[in-house]
Amino acid sequence: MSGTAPSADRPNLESVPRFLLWQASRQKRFLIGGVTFGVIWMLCQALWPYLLGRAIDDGVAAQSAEVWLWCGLLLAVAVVQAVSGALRHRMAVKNLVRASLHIGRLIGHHSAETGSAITATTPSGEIVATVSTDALSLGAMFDVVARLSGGIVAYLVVSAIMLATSVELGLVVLIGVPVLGGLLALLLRPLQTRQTVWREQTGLLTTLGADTVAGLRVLRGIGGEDEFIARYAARSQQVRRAGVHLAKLQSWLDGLQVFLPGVFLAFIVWYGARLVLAGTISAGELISFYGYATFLVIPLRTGVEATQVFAKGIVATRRVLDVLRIQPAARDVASPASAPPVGAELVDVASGVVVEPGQFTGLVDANPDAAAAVATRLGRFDDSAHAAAPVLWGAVDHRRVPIRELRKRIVVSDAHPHLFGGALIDGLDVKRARDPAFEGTETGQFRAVSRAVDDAAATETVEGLPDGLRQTVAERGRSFSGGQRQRLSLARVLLTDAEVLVLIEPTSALDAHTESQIATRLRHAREGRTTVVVSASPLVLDRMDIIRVMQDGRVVGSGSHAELLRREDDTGYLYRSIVARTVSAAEPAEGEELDDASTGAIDTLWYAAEHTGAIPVYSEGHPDAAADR
Amino acid sequence: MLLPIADTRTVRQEAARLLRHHGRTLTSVVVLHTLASLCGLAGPWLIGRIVDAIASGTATLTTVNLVALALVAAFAGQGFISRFAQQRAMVLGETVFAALRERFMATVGALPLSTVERAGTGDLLSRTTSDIQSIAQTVRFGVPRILVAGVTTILTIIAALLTNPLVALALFVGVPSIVAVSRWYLRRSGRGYQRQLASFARLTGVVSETVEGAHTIEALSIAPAQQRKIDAALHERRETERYTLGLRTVWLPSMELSFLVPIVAVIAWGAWLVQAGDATVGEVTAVALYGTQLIGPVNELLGWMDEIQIGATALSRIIGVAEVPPDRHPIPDARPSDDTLLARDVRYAYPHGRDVLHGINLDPEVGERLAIVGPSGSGKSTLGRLLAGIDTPTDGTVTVGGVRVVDLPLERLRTHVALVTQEHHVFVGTLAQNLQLAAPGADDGMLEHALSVVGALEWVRSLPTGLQTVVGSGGVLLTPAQAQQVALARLVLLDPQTLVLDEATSLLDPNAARTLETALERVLAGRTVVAIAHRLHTAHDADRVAVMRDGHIVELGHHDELVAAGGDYAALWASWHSSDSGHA
Repeated sequence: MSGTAPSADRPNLESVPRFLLWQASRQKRFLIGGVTFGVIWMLCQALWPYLLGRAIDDGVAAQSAEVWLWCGLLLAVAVVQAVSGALRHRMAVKNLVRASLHIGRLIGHHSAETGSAITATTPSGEIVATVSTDALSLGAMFDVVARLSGGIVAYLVVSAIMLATSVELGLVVLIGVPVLGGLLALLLRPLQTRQTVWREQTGLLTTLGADTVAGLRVLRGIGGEDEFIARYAARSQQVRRAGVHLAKLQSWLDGLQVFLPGVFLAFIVWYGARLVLAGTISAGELISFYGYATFLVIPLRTGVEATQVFAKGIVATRRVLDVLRIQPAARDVASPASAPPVGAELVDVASGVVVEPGQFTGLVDANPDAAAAVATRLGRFDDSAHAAAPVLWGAVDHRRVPIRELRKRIVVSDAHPHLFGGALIDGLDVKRARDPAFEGTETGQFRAVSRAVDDAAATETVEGLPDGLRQTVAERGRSFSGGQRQRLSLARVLLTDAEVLVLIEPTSALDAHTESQIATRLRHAREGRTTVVVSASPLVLDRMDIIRVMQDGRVVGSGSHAELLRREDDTGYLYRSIVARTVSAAEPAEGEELDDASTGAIDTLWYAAEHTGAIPVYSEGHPDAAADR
Repeated sequence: MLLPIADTRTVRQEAARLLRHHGRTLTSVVVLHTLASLCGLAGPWLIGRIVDAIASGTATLTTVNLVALALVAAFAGQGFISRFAQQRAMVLGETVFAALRERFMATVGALPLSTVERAGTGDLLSRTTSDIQSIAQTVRFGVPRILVAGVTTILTIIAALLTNPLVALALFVGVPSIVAVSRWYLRRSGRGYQRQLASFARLTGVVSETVEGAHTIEALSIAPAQQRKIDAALHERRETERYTLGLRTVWLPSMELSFLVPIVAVIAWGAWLVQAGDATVGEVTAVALYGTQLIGPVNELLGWMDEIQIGATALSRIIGVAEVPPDRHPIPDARPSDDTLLARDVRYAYPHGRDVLHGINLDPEVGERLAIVGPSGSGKSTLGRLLAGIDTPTDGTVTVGGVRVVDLPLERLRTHVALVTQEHHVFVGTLAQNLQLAAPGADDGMLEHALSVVGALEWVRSLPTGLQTVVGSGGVLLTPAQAQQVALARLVLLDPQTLVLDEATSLLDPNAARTLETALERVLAGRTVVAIAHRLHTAHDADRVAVMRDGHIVELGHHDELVAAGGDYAALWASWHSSDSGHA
């Protein structure tokens, strides 16, 4: 984003003040409105003591009909005050909401565009907190700034009125209010420290509570619940003590917030009353002074509040900027090369893996992470990693190919793909998700998605949903089990129709029955197109054209599954040691037919036995539907 | 949703009970605030006195000095007393809040076994975290502030009435409109704010799925779709805000006018009364100033109404947990004569559901290893839960040493029968604390023995502080295999004679499968084991196999016998050994 000049859409990320000014320029109208109505509202309140004093002086005390005039004026001011107050509030809320939602939008869009780099240095919880907390703290500055300027104007006007009546009194107010404000703001400092302590303690308590609940099955099954309740209670008392500690200071501050402005008020009354006695001002004017002094508490409080809001807001802005400054780990070079033609060969130089076009390639390593790393490199997610390990795509370093082009043609599905909330069909139909203007009919979309869902053995999952493909999925797809999520993600990635499809551990959460279904259907769905699969499952590997066997991320040999099972060389031994696991005496030893022995899963066998007729199906209905509901 | 939510009446009763329980503190807070507010009311009264004194020409410099001193004293008194009142009120808030959450946690810790097993933790978790947090504001600050504002309001009105009841009558002009508009507002605002909160949670949800799934979004180039979703969530958030803002746009100015108009009324009505000789100018002044002073506290009272509505919803979910009925009534002195587990004619049906088990008889011998085999849905897991004493059979009995398992107090039941699932949880705390759950007071020697049985002693010793290492979220992160070993070590410490094994999924880490199998094998040695088998080799290795179909045991015997008998089990076994079952 750097290198592009800031504009109405591009935020200025140079510094906190610049960023805030840029955001302010986006809501000028509301800021001006907020200041205007804030000033009018405050002035009405400032006018109120004056009018009240005049009404009592010239109306009530003088027992004249002028009281009606003054009452009329008071009413008029009351109406203006009420209306401007409401408008001021509207502007304040709009300022806050506009700013904080816009920050939410910036962070959200930025996260979507930045890829995994976004969480490389910052934990995801902190990034979410910039939207849930920091954006509000930032927005609060725009709210308070409008109110503060209203307060300052009102404070100046009141000072001027008082100066006109009595220079000394005016000066006392003009100087006294900021001094008082500064004093109160200073007093609030130690309070914030104690609030931080309280908040930390509360956070620990919440964590402990959540931990206890998360492990409740263990606690109720094995024991220890009494101890955990005691631990929670002890921690809760600690929080209470922190709260009491906070209350002690807070209550003194509350007392001082009454006392200090009170002394100020008493001084003004004392001084004013002496002026009345000296005949310089009237009794009504004294009441006005009293009223002004009480009124000035409002801008005073706003001032104190503003210092706190700004202190918090600036820290929040810094955090927001930190997130917005994160750059994607893969970015287009200055003079990109043109992408290689369709059907170009892919070579991962560091490992020696060659992916031949139109073939099914399996990647196997004793360390599954090493195989996954090779597969991830094919998709070019982190340019810095490719300096030592380039990938050649049709003899072109794939870092020089424009990213858009590369992402469209090479799609890598990692070991833990995420599902997202929203209508299932829209979430699966990647092409439409990329571009809403994508051509295609409703039925065409429905048919294509259904086919992919079937290829991924997820039809049963979808049919189990009340609204099928049109079902609205909860965020993160959290209502699905791990296996269901894996199958749906597979359907989604099949729908990309990518020229090169790279799948990392696509069946790790599935039972053998489903695994073999998927292996068969995947072969059918991607026949003749380049497909790379990282897996240690013999069921999946059996369907590959060629398997690259690796040790510590370097190719040591290649061959088909059947070939490798029988090969009497190092590669053969290594391969068998990776794909074979024997646990029970009932399972065959190494070297026996792996296809048959790899699973003893009863669910799968029973299902198969019923289908072959070896075990009769009971008439009561499908057994799956019976008990565990 | 499985966990109950308390109704409005229960919530009210609970709130009343809490207030009654702290009646004395509450009274002292009210008394102190009354005193503080009385001091605060001195201001307008003193001003009124000065105005009258000046008007009657009796005022001197001394009066002015005295009044000013009195004012300072009044504010000092108000500040000082309100400090103590405020402190007491806040301490009360903290205490009530602490008691509330501790009681909630105690209830959670005593939830019936069957509820815990079936309900899952999602709903309970949100009650423990977000609901508790959302009443914090109301209990900690709301209660004290409402007390202050309430006392101040009442006293101010009394002071105005005492000054001159006739003049003060005009203050009530605003009451009808305050009542009418507030009722209109409060009827809509509660739902409005809840919708607003929900839209906020949705926005946070979309953003967090975007951040967490950033890699997937990048890999599939689906950023535009995710950005559209974020924009939709933002739009919804803006709309809900617009609604409540609309409510306040009506409510706020109405309130402001309802406060200001009475003051004007006091002046007009006061002027007439002064003319009639029924009031003095000072009295009118004082009442008008009292009217001004009412604005703050009444506004605050009304402002807390919103919070209270939201707090009540959270409270109903918090105290609702206590409404889960107990699932058993243990007999305190029930003692099994030995460790023989016996199921006799056991039937089970879910509430409003059809029977899952139809008269199961099972008699595992002490030390025997019995495998239960059957297709999914045949009732295997249900039978496992009944044998472990988690659920109560609808009919028939499960006994251990002649005592019904559900009659045993939980802590005694655990030492006889335990259900072992794949689920494991590492608690925040030291490794030693994690193990001592199963055997409170066990010393390091016992803990190390348990760890060595499951083959975990080596890596535990290599940790920087050994058994005292803090693990769990925030501490040292254990691998799934290590966590599994800790769970098994707990079993060794608990030392039950009978274990019911339900391995619903395959072991997490294929690389560690062998280590874990060995560890499990050592834990099982010498115990009675009922294993719900998910792989055929478990059945092959068992002493006896029970084959279940549709809630019946259809075959029972040793592997070889069943294979020879040529039933379902034999067919299953044959299909494994002959088939190409891998390729369906």
